[in-house]
Amino acid sequence: MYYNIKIKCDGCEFSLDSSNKLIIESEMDKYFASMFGASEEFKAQMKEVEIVDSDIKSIEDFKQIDVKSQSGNCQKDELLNEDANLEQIQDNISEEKIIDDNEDEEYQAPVVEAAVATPCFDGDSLDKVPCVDLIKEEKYIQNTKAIDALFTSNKENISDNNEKSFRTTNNIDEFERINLDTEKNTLAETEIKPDASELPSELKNDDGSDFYSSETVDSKKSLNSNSLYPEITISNEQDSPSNDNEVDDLIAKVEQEIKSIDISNSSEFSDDLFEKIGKNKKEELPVDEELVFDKNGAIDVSKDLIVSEKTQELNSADVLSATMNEVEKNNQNELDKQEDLKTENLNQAKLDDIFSDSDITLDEQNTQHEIQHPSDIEEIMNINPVPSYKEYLEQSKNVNNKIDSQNEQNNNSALTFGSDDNIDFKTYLENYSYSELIDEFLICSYYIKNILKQDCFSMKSINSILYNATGEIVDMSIVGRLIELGYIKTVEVEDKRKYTITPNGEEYFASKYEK
Amino acid sequence: MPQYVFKMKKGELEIEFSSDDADFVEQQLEKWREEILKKHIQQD
Repeated sequence: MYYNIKIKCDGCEFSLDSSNKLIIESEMDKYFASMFGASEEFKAQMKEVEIVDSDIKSIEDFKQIDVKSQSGNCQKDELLNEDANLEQIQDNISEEKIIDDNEDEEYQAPVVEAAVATPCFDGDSLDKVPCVDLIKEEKYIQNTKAIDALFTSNKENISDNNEKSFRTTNNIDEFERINLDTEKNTLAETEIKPDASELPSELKNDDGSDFYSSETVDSKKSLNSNSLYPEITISNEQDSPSNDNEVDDLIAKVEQEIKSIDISNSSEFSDDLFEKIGKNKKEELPVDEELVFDKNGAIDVSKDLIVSEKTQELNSADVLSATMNEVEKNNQNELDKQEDLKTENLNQAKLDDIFSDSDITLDEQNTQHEIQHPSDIEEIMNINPVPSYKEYLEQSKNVNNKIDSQNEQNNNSALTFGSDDNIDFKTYLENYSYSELIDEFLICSYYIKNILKQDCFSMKSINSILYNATGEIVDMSIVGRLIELGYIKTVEVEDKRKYTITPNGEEYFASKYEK
Repeated sequence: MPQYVFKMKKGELEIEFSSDDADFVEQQLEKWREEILKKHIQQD
């Protein structure tokens, strides 16, 4: 338990916290008496008292606290002593005045003044303290040195990056020249190369190729090997995959890979195939983009088998799409028409699965293939015949009816608190005639006892039932009226106050409310 | 835990009484009320 009294008198405040009931009671009685019956002298005494400590837990603590009057010499025992007579208090007050006039050495400064004298370092007063200026000055010097050191190290880093010492040369023209050279190299690498077919004849070699050979690019690359800009390399005609023999070899390899497809392990197949295809072109095409020029200097678009290193997956898909067309043509010439149809369907399904980004699992893929095959579809149709539209409607109606009946059962069980015999209080209430909230309360108490079979109820439980049924709640005034009438009585259950309807209440209920 | 606070003021003197003990608050206020009534009766 927690008790607190706070006495205020003309600006002075006295607070007493306690967990002891008797202490607080006696103290409160004392000050209550002072308020309504004590003399004016006691009030005067109260004005001069200021108790600093408010964390008092007992009367002993209260007696030991430091009581100081504004004049500095008021005795706390006099305040605690209930028998303190007024003459003594008056004598003390007169003595204090004498002490104040004589400026005695025992004079103690008021607590409030001492607190004010404590230095308070806020933002404004900080500048006014002399020692702070010294500290600030010293810190300023330290910070300046640190900034100088940081600035020097940054300048050294800048010069190191340009492979020239800016500090040693100390020549701004030389530094700017280095930067300009670097920018030129960067621009030369990042600029877009013109189409070879559009180049004038002066910019072309004797064999028709342009000046942007791999050798020139490599020489530029060596100028700024540490550059982060993307490097665009234009391959020479001799290094391009336009050679028909290489393309034929590649197609043959792809054919072999396609034939050795194992659908049960499609993920490994794709990675393995892409890796093998990539190996054929990695050594020859080690750059992001490759432009293939034919002998006339025009871009050769007839060869689709170009694989880049970074976009390996996408371009390898293009390779597969191109090669699979040829594979299918060869298969059509070699195999029968029926087998061709099956293999085409299977291959097409496999390609769709390989090139699609969906996360279909292996089982799903297999089931899709099975369904796509006409014979498989027939088998499925035989096993699970498709119902007619009327049959489908009847089935859906039956399912809906089952769901509705189940929902109704669930709702009823929720309203009747899980009992099949019980009925909802709202419907129960309709059987009775009532006019006031007090009647609803009594009906509900009867309902709880006789329908819900609960001996007693709390205000919370009965209000929840009433609110769900009527949207209203009752307060203690209604309960008090019913208790006075003898229709409701209180019951103590596990240290909690509960209520139940009395036999008189039940008789009254039967005589009044039943229709 | 509820806390009950009662503040009484007469002239310059003010008493603020706070507690979480509802019974004690009730008893104390009742006791004070009776004392005030008695004083009124005596004065009359």
